[in-house]
Amino acid sequence: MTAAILTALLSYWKRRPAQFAALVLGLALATALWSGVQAINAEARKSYDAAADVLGGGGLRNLVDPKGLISQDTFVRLRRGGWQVSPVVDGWLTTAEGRVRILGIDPFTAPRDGTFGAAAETGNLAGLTGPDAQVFSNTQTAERLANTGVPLQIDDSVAPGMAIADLRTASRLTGKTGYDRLILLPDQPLKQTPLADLAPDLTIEAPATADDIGRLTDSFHLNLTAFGLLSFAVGLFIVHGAIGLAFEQRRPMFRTLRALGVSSRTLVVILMAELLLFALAAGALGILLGYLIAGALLPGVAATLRGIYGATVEGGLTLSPVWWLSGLGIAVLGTALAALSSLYQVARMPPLAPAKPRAWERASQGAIRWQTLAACACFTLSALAYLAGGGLVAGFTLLGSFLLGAALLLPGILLGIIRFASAGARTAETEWFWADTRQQVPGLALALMALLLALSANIGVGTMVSSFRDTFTGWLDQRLVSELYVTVETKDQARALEDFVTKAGGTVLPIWHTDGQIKGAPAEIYGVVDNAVYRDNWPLLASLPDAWDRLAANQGALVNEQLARREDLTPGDMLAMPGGWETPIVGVYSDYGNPLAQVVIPLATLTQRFEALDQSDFGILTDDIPAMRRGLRDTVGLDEARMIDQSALKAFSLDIFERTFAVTAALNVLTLSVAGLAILTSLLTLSAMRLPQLAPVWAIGMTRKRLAWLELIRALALAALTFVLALPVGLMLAWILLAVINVEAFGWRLPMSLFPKDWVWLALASLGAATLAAIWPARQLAKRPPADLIKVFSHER
Amino acid sequence: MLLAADTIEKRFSGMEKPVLDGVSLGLKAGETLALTGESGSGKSTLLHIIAGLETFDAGQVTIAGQALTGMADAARAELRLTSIGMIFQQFNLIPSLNVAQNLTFQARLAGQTVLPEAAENMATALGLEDHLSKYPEELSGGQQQRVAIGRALLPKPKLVLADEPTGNLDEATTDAVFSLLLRETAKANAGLLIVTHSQKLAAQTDRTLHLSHGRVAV
Repeated sequence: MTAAILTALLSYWKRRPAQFAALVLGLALATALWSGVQAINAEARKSYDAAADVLGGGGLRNLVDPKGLISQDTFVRLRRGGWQVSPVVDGWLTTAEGRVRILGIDPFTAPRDGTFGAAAETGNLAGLTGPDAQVFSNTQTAERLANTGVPLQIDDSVAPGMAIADLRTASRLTGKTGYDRLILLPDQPLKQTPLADLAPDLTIEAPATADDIGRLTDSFHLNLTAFGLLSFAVGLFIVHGAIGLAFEQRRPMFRTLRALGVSSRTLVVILMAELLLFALAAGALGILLGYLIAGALLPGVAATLRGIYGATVEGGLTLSPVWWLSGLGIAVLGTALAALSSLYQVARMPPLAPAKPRAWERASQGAIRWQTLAACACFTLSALAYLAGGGLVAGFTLLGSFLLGAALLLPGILLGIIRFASAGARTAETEWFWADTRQQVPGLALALMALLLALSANIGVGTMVSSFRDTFTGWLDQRLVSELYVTVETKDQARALEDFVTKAGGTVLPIWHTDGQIKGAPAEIYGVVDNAVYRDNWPLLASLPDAWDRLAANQGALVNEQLARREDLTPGDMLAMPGGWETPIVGVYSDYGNPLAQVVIPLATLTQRFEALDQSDFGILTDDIPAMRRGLRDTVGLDEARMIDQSALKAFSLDIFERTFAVTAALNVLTLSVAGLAILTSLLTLSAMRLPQLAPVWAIGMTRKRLAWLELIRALALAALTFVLALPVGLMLAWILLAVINVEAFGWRLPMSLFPKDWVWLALASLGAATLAAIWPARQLAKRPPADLIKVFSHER
Repeated sequence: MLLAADTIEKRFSGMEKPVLDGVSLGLKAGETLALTGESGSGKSTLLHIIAGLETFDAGQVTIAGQALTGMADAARAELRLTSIGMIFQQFNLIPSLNVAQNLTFQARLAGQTVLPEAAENMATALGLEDHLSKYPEELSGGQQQRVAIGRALLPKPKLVLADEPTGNLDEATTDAVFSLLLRETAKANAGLLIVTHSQKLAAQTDRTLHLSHGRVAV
């Protein structure tokens, strides 16, 4: 019996290939976008884990000096005192091809648990420590080190973006004169001289975990996930529409099956089996598409993560079976969600329920009233989330409930506008056009809601990105005060640089810094000299009077916006610095693109208070950049790769920026395409249903060509109306992204700018998508044989 | 002659025998003609051919002096719009328009100015004066068919074609609707060609033509 019922149910799809395609494509695309984003996230997490493993010494604890580097004397003292420790030098090397994290290890004492890959294996000791000491890195990282002249050994087990060297080589490459930490090896002797006696300044630190990088990049991944979820929701709209329509159109078949003795339970179970079949097939297709999407987007994401967070992610995809299974799981779950109400109705349907061909339409009209109420509830939730404030979850609740509310409200508003327009109709044709459009709205509602979401996301994200670009460009112009930026290799080179630049009439601005913990989170502490370029150019968001004078007089510090917002700090507040001293905050500056807290103090204070300084970076003010470059190369001996001028640095920064948002733009286009497809599939599925409505108008005397034109105009009118409504929704979305999500996720708030030109393009794109979606069904109608239309009158007999 | 159909032939692809095999008929203004026959005899196809909804393989159809042979799709649509009133068994009203809008729909589509009193008079004549703001789904079958009759007659067509106009109505409603159809077409001096299974209704028309296997039965 089951086979017979299933055959009967499946025969429906055979006769309606367009509707079947809508269901499968909707589900496949929803799964694809979701799985694609998840694949990117999974790949990134895997890279973080690999990096954390190396940085944390394979989960071992470390000895660190909160004030700076650990000397070789302290290391020797500890070893003699019975402490099994292994020193590590940890720093960055900037090359023309990008930054590489250099990890210097002592191969004789380093743990041999695979943490440091082949580098720490006994057989490779000669390679690591010999006269031509090799640096171990994976293939991609090796490309970045190719021009440094360091002998390289490829080891693909080394985490991406990282290179492992012996201590001497690492110290030379990073300019460090001590150890950053000492790994506490697992097997420690029972008798040890207490740490407090040997090295009172050192403290024991828990191993680094993937969380350290994860915490920084969480907000980025959350944004990606939110976009994936939005695309998934857009796809589910199509699925829900297709399933709802199919169930309503099969009502007579259900009635017959029930009358023939099929129980409601059997019917529901078989319908569920049918849907499971579709979900698995479409899910598998979606996962394959998702794999392709992830493969296409991953290089951009990797560039972003490297550029903004310094986190390195492999460019290739290696996905686990869990990902494949979760993709299928989400497809099945999505189908279940989309079909829930339809299945419930079938379960409750009495055996002799009348087959109402327009029941679905009427039910949809009733649903619009409920939708409007639900929209109000969503807006209330949104308002509550805003008022409650605080945290990214509240931010996304505000954003999600607002978008959902706007989408739910759309059909009701469209009906209102159409009613208003039809009141002004003067001819029978326009009267019929608007009345017929009104009748079509319930059938097209889901597709139009999907379009609204896609357009709003485009406008919102587009406004955010363009506002960001505007602000970021202006900010870079202000912030990059030096004409030339250089990185020296040694202290001698630094001295030579200062001598040369001063003699050449330029000014040296040291950009020295150290890393530390402020308020329990990683922070960068920079030292600056008192120079007019800072006063004239650095944008301060809030400050005490004479902030720069106070800074120069060592009476305070400047903090970046991220730190100020996160810790709710304002000028005048005291800031606890690493090492146990405090300083008042004299100003807050904008610091876009930096996920870390940052503090600026006078250079003299920096050198006095901190030992572990990165003193390799300098800014140079000069009127003649080429001459300065030449001099630095010939006189100071600086490699060209270690010099970058202001315009190149700006271009580099903007390139990172553009790559970051290229991913967003790609997801935007994909979501808009899904919405376009939703319209196409809705129009195709509706076109068969609409024949009984169009045939009498044709019989009365309107040509098929004219009817087709009106169908096209209707699709365009609905798309145009949806665009007009998406505009305020998109702008509101932009405001939420700029004023709430960005502040919560990254710690900075940007001014919102409007870009009407972009809207014109988007309006044309949405009309184009609607035209493309409507042209096929319209053409079908124009070319439809009269016999098909006549059948409407014959079939009804 | 208002309508002249001469030796019409029509064959559907895949069918062995023609649906219409040399059918001829004529209809004068103000005259009523019933087309009867068993299911599949070709009467609806003939009606559709006369309405210009369907093409034919051979023969000639002339309506108010205009030959349908070789007439373009747009011209046939224009002819239906201005000269023919169509009434269907399933009423085929526009569900999204109310009764008043449905009544005046064809006339206004044809570019005619429908005076409010003309529409009101028609509604009163059809007994619909209290239902003008209702939508088709709110009406009974008989009321819907009255609206369809009004829609067909309001543009003052020369020819009214009705395909089983009472096929979906009960006996009492059938009598009332059919009387109304005869009365209103007579009032408009239009020719009425009606397809029906009912001998009782056919008996009320001026002439009856019986089709059998695509031919006029003698």
